[in-house]
Amino acid sequence: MEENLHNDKLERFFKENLERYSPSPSGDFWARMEAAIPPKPSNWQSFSSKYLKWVGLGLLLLSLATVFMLWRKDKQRIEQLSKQIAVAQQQVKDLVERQPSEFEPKEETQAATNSNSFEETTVEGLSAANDNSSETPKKVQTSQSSSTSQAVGMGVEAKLNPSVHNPPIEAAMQAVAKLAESPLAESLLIEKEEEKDIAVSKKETTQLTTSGINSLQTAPPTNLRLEEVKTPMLLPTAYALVSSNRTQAPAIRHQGIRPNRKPYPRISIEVGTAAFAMPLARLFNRDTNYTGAIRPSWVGSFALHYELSPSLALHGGYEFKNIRTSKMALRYNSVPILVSKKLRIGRRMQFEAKAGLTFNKFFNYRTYSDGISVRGRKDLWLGWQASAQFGMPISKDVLFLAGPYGGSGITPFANGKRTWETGLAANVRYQF
Amino acid sequence: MIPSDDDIIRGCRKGDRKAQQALYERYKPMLFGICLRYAGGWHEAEDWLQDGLVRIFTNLYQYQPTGAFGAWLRRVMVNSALEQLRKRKRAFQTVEIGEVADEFEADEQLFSKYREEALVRMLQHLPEGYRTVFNLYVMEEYSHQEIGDMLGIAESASRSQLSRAKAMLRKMLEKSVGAEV
Repeated sequence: MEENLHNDKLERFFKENLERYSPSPSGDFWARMEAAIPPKPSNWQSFSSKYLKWVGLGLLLLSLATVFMLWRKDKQRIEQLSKQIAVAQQQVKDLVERQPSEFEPKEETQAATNSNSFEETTVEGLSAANDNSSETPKKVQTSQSSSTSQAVGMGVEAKLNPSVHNPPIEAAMQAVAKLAESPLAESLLIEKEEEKDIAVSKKETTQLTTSGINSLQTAPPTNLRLEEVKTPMLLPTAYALVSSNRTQAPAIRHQGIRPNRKPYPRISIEVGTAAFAMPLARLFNRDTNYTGAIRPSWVGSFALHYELSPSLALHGGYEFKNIRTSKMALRYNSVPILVSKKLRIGRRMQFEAKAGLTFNKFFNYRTYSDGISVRGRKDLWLGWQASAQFGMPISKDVLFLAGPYGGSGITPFANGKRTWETGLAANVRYQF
Repeated sequence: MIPSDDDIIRGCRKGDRKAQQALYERYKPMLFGICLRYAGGWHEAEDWLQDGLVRIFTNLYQYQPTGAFGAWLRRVMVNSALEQLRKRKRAFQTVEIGEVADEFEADEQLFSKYREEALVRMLQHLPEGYRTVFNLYVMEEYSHQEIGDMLGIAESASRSQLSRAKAMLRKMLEKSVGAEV
């Protein structure tokens, strides 16, 4: 029908004649024109128009890849350390489970112990370590030290009386020392302490290392466990065998970021961006002539995330979408109302699947090549949207989420068609 | 040596005045023809041509050689003309067909010797809205829905304006030729 109308006799007559018409403006037109031509666009304008979107997309992908690599590396480290800790804990357990008789000193050593064999106990190097300028280990020295059993790497060099030589204790100390020597363990264990803590730990270390060893020499322990001893900054964490009536200290402090543990329900705010594609051709009858090829478009979003339980949340907000094709650009406002299901992956990562409805409205049509608005179209439509995102905490209260999303219209546009969109989103969520 | 379109585009992107002049010389009949069809008169058409050329030179770095360069220039110039019309914010008012045709002064001699110019004069005599819809539909071959999208009017309004424009032109032609068209 439409085609036939273009074949009207009068229309053909005008079209054929007017297409042959080749008028020329007045002779001085170009002289006037030259004065009106603006200076050439800057190189940056030209570059940004062509490549900025690709640079942006590349940066987004790079950041996602970096997050993934860091997560993988972190996971491997945690696994490796967990294995080492399990081995050390097993060794300590074996040690504790042995019969107390094994710890009883031999007759001659008993005598030596009773005669107060620890005549001199000095702790050196602590002051030097305290100002972070020396790596001198602490020394716990005995007067009759002809042979030594050392726990190297623990920061403790314990010279024991040969007469009270005790293989099980040595084995445990060596196992702990080996664990503490590991650079991976160091990175996990060494924490910066405040000045106050350093002073306290210095005192505690002295007491624990001397009194702990003394008590082991004098009385057979019935229930031993390995406990972390606070040490000054830059010194590896020290361990001492202490009796179980002391308060249990954490074996290893977890340095990774733990998610916020606030009670449910709780609210988070989320801001984000996404790169996506949407075929605008679906909006028009003679589509591709008018809109051109699909180009990467972008979204800016703000949302409230209402967490009902650890696994279920409601998600609602506002999205500003700027859609581009080669010949056209337009914007639309979107209000998504989504239900979110969360699954925990490992200790830190999480997976979130969201699905729900979106309320959308186009505004400010604009052809791209010449910046002319195409007004008058007022499309309002209902759509659905679904996304799958991986989340990783970047601080206690802040979560980084990234992943693909997609959606399409449920109700059609004014022309009876529906369109779809798909993209890659990155969001940051702050939990109150 | 006559520069190719690619040379002209490259030169214009660099801001080369000679390339810009070459583009103007090559495409001025087409571009000015568009302006004359959409504008109400010669001087107005020249002003629109100037604005359209500035827009072309400014946005040329956005042109991608996927389609014909001439078609891109034509589209930019039509859009520029539409923007000029929009700036005036004149309503697409309804005008009596007989009123317009009666006002038109037919010149049979002009029509026989310079038919194209006479036809342009007829178009310029049409009310602005009618002229725009006629140009977009007949010359640019847009559909009524697309015209509605572009001008912010209903599809039915585009149809009725075209129908009225054609009726007016038919009457003007009858006056010029002296016979029923």
